[in-house]
Amino acid sequence: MVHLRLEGITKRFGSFVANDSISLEVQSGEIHAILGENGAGKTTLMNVLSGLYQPDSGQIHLEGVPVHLTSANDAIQHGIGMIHQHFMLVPQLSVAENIVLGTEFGLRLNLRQKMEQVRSMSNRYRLQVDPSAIVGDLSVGMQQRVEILKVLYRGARVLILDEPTAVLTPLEVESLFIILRQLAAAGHTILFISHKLDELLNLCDKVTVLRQGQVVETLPIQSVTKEILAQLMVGRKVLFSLDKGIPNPGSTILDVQNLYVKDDRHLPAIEGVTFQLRTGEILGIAGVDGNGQRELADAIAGLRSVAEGKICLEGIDITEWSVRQRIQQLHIGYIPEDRQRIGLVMNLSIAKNLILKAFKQLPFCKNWLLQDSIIDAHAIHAIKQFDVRAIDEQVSVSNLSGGNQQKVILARELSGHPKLIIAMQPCRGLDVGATEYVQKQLLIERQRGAAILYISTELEEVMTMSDRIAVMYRGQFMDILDAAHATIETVGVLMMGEKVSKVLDTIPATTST
Amino acid sequence: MTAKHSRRTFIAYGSAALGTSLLLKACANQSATPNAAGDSKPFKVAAVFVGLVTDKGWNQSAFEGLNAAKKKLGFEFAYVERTAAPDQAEALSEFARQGYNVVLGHSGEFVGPTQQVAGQFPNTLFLVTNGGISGSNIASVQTNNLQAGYLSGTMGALMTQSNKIAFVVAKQFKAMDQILRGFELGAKAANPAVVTTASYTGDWDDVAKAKEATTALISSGVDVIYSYLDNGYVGVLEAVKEQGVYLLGNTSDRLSDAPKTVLTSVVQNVGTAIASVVELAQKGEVKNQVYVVGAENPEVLYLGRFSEAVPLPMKQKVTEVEKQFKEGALAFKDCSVDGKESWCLQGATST
Amino acid sequence: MKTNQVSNAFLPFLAPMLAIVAALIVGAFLIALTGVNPLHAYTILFRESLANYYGIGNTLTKMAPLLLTASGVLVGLRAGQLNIGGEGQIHMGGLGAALVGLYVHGLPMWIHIPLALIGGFLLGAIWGGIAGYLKAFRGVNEVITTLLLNYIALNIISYLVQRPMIEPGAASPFTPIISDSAKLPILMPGGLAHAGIFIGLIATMVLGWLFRRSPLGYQIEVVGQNPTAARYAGMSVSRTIMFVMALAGGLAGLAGAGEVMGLKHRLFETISPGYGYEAVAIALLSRGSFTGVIFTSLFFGALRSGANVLQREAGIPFTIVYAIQGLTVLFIAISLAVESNLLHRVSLRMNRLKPAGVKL
Repeated sequence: MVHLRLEGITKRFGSFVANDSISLEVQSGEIHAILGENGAGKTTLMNVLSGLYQPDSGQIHLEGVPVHLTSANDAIQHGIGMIHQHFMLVPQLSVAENIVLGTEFGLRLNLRQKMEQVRSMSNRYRLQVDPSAIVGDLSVGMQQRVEILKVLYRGARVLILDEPTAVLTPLEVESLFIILRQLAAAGHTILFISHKLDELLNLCDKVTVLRQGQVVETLPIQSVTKEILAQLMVGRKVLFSLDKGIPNPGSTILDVQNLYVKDDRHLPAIEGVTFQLRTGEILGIAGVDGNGQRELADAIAGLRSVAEGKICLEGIDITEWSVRQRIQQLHIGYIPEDRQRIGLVMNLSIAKNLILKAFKQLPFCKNWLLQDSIIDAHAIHAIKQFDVRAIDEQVSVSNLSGGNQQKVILARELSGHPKLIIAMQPCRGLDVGATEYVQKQLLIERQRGAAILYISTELEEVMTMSDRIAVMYRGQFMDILDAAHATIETVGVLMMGEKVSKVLDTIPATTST
Repeated sequence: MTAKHSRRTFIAYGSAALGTSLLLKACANQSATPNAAGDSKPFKVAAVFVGLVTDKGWNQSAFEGLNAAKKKLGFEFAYVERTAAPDQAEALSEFARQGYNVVLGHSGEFVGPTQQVAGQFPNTLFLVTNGGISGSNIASVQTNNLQAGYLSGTMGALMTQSNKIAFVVAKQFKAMDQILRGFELGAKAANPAVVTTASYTGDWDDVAKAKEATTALISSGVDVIYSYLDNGYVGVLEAVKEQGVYLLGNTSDRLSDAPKTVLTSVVQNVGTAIASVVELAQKGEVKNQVYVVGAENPEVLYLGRFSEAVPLPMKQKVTEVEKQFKEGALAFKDCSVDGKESWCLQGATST
Repeated sequence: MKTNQVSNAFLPFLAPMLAIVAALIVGAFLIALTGVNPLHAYTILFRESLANYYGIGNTLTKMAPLLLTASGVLVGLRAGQLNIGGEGQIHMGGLGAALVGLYVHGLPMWIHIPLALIGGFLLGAIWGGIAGYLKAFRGVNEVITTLLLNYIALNIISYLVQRPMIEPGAASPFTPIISDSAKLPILMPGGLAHAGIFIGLIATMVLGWLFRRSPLGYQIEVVGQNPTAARYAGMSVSRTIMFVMALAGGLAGLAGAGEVMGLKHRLFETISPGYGYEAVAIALLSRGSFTGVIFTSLFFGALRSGANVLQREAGIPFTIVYAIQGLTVLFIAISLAVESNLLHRVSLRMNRLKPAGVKL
């Protein structure tokens, strides 16, 4: 039975058409993926479905009945529940309180009874959530289950999940999928928005690909491959195996000796890391998030002080150098993990963001004055060179898409031919096209002779890019492998903190996600 | 000029303001400026207050005094209240510019602004309450603080059991120094064993601070308090009532606030004092001097009603002192105490 | 496109203007309650504060300290610091100027005046700098420290003008008059307006230029908008914050110096009747623009001097005028909230289409 049917949904913003006559059908109990690049119209469509936007034309049908959704509340009345990427929970309250929040208007709140309701509901869907737990104490994965329970409690039959796996660990992703499959089996209809192709192939029954606000195609999952989906999404062929070129490593440029670094809470984050990095080489660092990668990158960039050990660049001991010294006297490019929080000043223009590290130096600053014309010319050049999609250099970066924001950072960090590039999660949150672009740029730098430290929690990304792979676990390098001989299985086991020799013969198939 | 202008705007906005045109006319008349020449012009008095004229104290006293004088003498009267330090010179000069004959700044704060602007307006008399300054068109007026302090000190010294009496005030400056000095002299004259202290709360109106300071004094053995605060008086009264000691009222007759606690009040009616100087000005008899009005004018400075707690002989003693002031038998002079400028009783060498 | 740009330039001022109009309308009812014709009152208000020789002088007199202090607050806002310590900084600045003006003798005017101004700036800067130090290096919230430092400053001044610095025989707690060589020149003969307004205008224009053209302004902007990014780019966030707070304090200190050197010629307990707090409102209403600060200060200055005139000429109680001032702030705050909501919606729509958002 067709549960949800969209008919010619069109949503315009001014003269811009965000959704152009979108039609699609979703069966009851189906897990339906909506796939598209950033800016393809996924979010707009979801906002139309959850009542935040009213379409300019077109009709939504629920179980054959045309409905008109005027607000998020209205949508949930009709059984459409949205689970946002950023949770809307009150961390100080218990699970049960969060779930009933906003639904009760009586004077008396029988919390015990509500708690029982939530508990039985949680058991019914096998969510294993303790209704009396305080939300702030729960893991991210658990909080997401609370969000799911919240919409179920409000009687949702259609669940929309907006990039739900972005915040989850691989294990949590696996259990989320189990839950979603159960919900589908129980007759719930699920719309799953993502641009992680592997996940879609793994989970969904059908996929609708959007491009530039239009439906490109809706296909059953069995009939597609990763390559086909990527091509439909981007509109051209995407290379999943990058042509890396022949590695041509030269002399050692970065020498890290027995490094110890503490984290923000003054607990040991890196404990005795030693490695060398040569020119023209990419050293990938794999590991589950929070095993010291952040502290390692910060320590090399000078943002975090070193407790013990030595960092040498081109034979110079820079362990005690300040960030400014490193920026002014060394050529280090640092692509930070969080571009919006660390790498950019969102309200400033592209031009102003491009001079973030060089604003006191020639040619941008002369006679104690910022040279606006030079700064702008520099920006115009960078926009062209790095293919930043923006009307002009005065646009504030907050108006750019994630991919274009990352390009601005690349333009800044790769300018001046850095000898060492630290790339921390450079492709996080980017769509296929942008990811490909970033990786290609880094490979060009490698060809030029830059040494690159490529840190990512996405195992496949590290595998694709690296010449050598270091696996980090609890602040230590488990091993440094030659990428040519490393397999996903070996690295995966090392990421769990187990020595390969011990477990090689017992690798179960499940360790790969 | 103002009237003409207002009429023009009246025409301009006439249609819109039809319903309120009567009011507008009234206003226009009110602010009409008389021509500077001719004897028939109305006598005009303006006053600038630091605080509100409804403060039941310092400002209200002056305001009421001026209003009473206005009725009696028939002059025009205008005022502005709540004039902060940066606005004071402006307020004085704007009144002067509009042709007011007397412009009063009702606080010692106006000394500076008056000296700043008076030179520009030779035809206006600038009067400063508690100013202590005079000039070619500047005069000051104040009540006799030494007398007020002396009377209070006498009463306190007669009634204290512990021989410790205290003066509670917000800030330290000349007028308050005079009261304190009179308080000391009066107390010593009545009973040489009595020790006087002063406590500065820093705020005329802060009730909590006043109560705190009073309580501290009482716990150090003081059993008669002479309060000289505005709204802070409420805090003093509370503390004194709670601890069961005596209070001396200031400025107005405070007996009804607590008939068993308030021994008596030295009434200093600054409004009447101002009015007396304004009257001189209207008659053209004013001199550019510092007018200190004391018990010789019984409407300005006098003893209020007595509590039943005050025995008759003591009452008589205090009233006798008041009479001496009235008749001029007792008076003060400038002198030097420990190298500092101060005041002494006339006839006495030093204390 | 062109008309769009024009409307974009006009847009930031639309909401405050509408708010002022709304406040005047509501204020008109209040005035009518006192039995005065509101039109008559407003005619007086604007004629006497902006179109009359002495009125303009009075307005400028009040605008000078407002402008300097508000510029200081705005500098702080640019670096993400809310400095509500203008009141204390003004008083300390007044003290600095008074010390130089009273106890340094025998200097020619062209040395004495700058020296006294520097004295005011320095003490204000120290006062702001204390809050800056506590924020930058000890993590104490600047809103709390600046507020509390106000009380400390006021009490220090109160003590000084009652005891060590009081003029012998003063009728009220104030110091003697400063040397003639340290008095700021009067701008309009017969009036009170002094050269402090020029100091304010020059300071504001220098600041505007500083933020537009200098690397320092850029650094402050980055620190204010994203301290994490600033650290990542090698800037010293703590030092920048401390510098900015000292600068803000110094500007307020100049305001205090102007009051002492130009208007009162002596130090008082209350040389500022709340300019420090009004400056916060002005800075917030000026939408981050130094040009905006000039006009907003002018408006607030006019309202203040107009308030006095309304009392004098129309007999409107002081409280009503204050209510109109309060209403203006309230309406502007409301209009800003409404506007940012509207802008948010508009920008949601415009983002993808035309990423030329409203610049700060």
